Amino acid sequence: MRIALFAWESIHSISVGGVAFHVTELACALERKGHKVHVFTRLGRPDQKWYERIHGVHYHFCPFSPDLNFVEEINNMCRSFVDAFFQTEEHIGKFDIIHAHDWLTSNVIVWIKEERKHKAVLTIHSTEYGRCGNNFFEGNSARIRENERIGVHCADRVITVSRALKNEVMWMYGVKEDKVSVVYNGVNYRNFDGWIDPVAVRRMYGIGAMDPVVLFVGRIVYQKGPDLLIDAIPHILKYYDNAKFVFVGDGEMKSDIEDQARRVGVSHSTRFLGYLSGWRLIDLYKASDAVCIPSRNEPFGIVILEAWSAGKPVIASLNGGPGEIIWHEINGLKVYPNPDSVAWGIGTAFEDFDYASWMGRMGRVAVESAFSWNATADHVLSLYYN
Amino acid sequence: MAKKRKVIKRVYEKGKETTVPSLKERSIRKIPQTVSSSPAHGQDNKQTNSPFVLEEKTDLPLFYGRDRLSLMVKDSFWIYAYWEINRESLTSLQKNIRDSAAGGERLILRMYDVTLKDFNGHNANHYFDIEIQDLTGERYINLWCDNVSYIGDIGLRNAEGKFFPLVRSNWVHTPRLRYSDRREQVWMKVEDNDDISGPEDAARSFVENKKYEVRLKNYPSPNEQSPKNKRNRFAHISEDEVRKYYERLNPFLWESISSAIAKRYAERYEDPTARILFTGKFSDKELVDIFSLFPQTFWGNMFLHSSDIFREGGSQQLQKKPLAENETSGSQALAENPLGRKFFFELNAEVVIYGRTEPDAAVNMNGERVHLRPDGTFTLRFSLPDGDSPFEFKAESGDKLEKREINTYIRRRTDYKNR
Repeated sequence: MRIALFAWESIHSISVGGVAFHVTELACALERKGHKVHVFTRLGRPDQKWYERIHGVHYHFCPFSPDLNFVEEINNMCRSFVDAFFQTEEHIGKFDIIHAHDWLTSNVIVWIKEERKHKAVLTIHSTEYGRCGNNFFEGNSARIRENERIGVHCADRVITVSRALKNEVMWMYGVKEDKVSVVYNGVNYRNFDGWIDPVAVRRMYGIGAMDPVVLFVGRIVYQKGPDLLIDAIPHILKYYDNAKFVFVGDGEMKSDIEDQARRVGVSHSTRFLGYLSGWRLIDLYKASDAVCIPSRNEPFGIVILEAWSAGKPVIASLNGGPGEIIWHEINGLKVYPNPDSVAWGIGTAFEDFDYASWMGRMGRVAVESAFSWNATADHVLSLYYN
Repeated sequence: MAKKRKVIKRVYEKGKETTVPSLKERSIRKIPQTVSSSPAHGQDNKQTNSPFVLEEKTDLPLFYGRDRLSLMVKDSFWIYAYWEINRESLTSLQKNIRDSAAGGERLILRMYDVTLKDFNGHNANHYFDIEIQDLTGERYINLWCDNVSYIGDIGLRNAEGKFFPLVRSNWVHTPRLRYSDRREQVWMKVEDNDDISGPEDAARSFVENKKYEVRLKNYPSPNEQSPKNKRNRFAHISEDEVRKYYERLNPFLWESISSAIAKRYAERYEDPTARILFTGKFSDKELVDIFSLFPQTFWGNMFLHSSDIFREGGSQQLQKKPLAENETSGSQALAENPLGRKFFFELNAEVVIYGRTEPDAAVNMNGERVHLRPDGTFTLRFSLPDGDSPFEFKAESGDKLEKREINTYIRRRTDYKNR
């Protein structure tokens, strides 16, 4: 089966969030199952090759012209993808499936379908409504919502990453229920095997050996709720004055959040590390005591799976995906997205470290039982076939 | 003689509820009888003759003196709200928040969308604010989608955007505009299960089941807890139960191996072994045996993710202490050569069987038809595993009068040294 995946990010070009990991791992898993997979994504660096074969997957890195308006720029990118797709198809033959990811590439399937007949699948990783922190904004946001609506109706099948997101999509865009299916994300939990010296990692970031450490991983934007965690810090410092809070990730709110930490008076206990990935991030997961995900709207939360793979308990808000996959008080704590509740969750994890590490172990069990990219690819394949 | 009931009337004054003996109750009841004799309506004969016209004496009061907000559904896109706020409760709220707040409070009606939510004040899907002026008022609120649930709050919002609620409304759900989206057939799965038990049986078996009373191994028992102020958190659950719970999330779990999806898979691949496997149910141990029979590539295609088989995963490793120098970690043990070198040595065997007969004869090997070339010769090639491999050939002449049989046995033995 010949499959075309469209995504605006991948690990091998530009990696921003969960979509990059999802697309790259899905492409690899499909390739392992014996399918020909072509990924169309944007150019990472100007000097990058336009075509590359990485781990058996064909990557087409498409250049496009920038624009001041973000939506226009993304439309330029989509045009470039469509062009590259048609060129590839003329070269190697017809594709069986075209599979777009998020609103950013939803126009690709719309435009391809206008020209040639294809089976189209659209994966929704988050909705514009959720990214705005559950608000309907005007301007570009409304345009993006319209893109999502057209894409969802144009696709033959829609995949969402959690049941909460499925409900959201059905509610907002009026899609029929039997058209939308839920496919959970996966994780390569073997990457987190092995033992490291947590003290050395902590020393690298200026954290004491016995300090309780909470890790926040994610884009620093309103949707992910880092401000809620900052507001919760004073409550925790009251009882654990050596607690440290590590923020990994970049985003438009980063400087605001640093300001907020100074204003609240807790900047001494926070570390802002920017975007990290690979072994540095894995080491941080292993060196921390708990992972906090105080999102206002979280479609799935791959961070949860990564934390569990490293054997750490998660403290996550119960909106969306985390509410579905976490078993409260068994492998994580579900909290409300407000500072007091987040403080309760972190305090509960710190109160009894044996219990917290037991929860982390149970998380690892959960990850091993249910979440892997092969299972995700199997599920996606079964959707391709019908 | 029965004691005559004292007729009382509830009145609300200054926000307090008091009762006073009602004097006019009797006269109010007589109102319908006096309707026709009212001189004001005497001029219009048609109205006077109608028995349904009442004298307009029953004016509703403007205030009841209590805080109340009520929502009513008009249709799919409209909600009707009416409310009354007591001025004293408003001023007391303003007094309470004055110390902390930034000032500039406005009275607003906040509508929460609580569709599919167990609302607790924080988890609304979203909300919107409507500024209101009157302490007693009504309003039609327009919505943009049908089939949603709403709850309203009236309260003060200050210049910083912080909201101080005063009164909460009832819960309403607007009706669906069209027919339901759910049209797929959902069939109940009936299994012939002997131990179907009612709710009482389930409760009893829960008590009898000792499994739930056993405490976790890894977690210290309550007697071992040192400080008294430490809270004990019980988790009456074992690792296997967590595993079972999460395997349900996996679409390709072992229990649903004979599910519709898996069957469709097997048919699509047209693999006879897969079809045999999907039609029957097997225990875990049998599955492991079957698993070992087939080549790895088949399983790689079908169930590369299989937590049951690779059960000794990293969770056990995480419980262990840091490794000593001469030990190897789990990921290292997975590597094939402990020396870390790339040298390898493999050996395999194949067998070729060939024969000759009349071109029109029929030849069977172990019950399977063998393809003959036009000149009557045939060649078969197999991979040869360790152990005995019998090959039983039966030939039948074209006119089915003569039959011959040749059986040959091949035995392979492999010895490994310094492996």
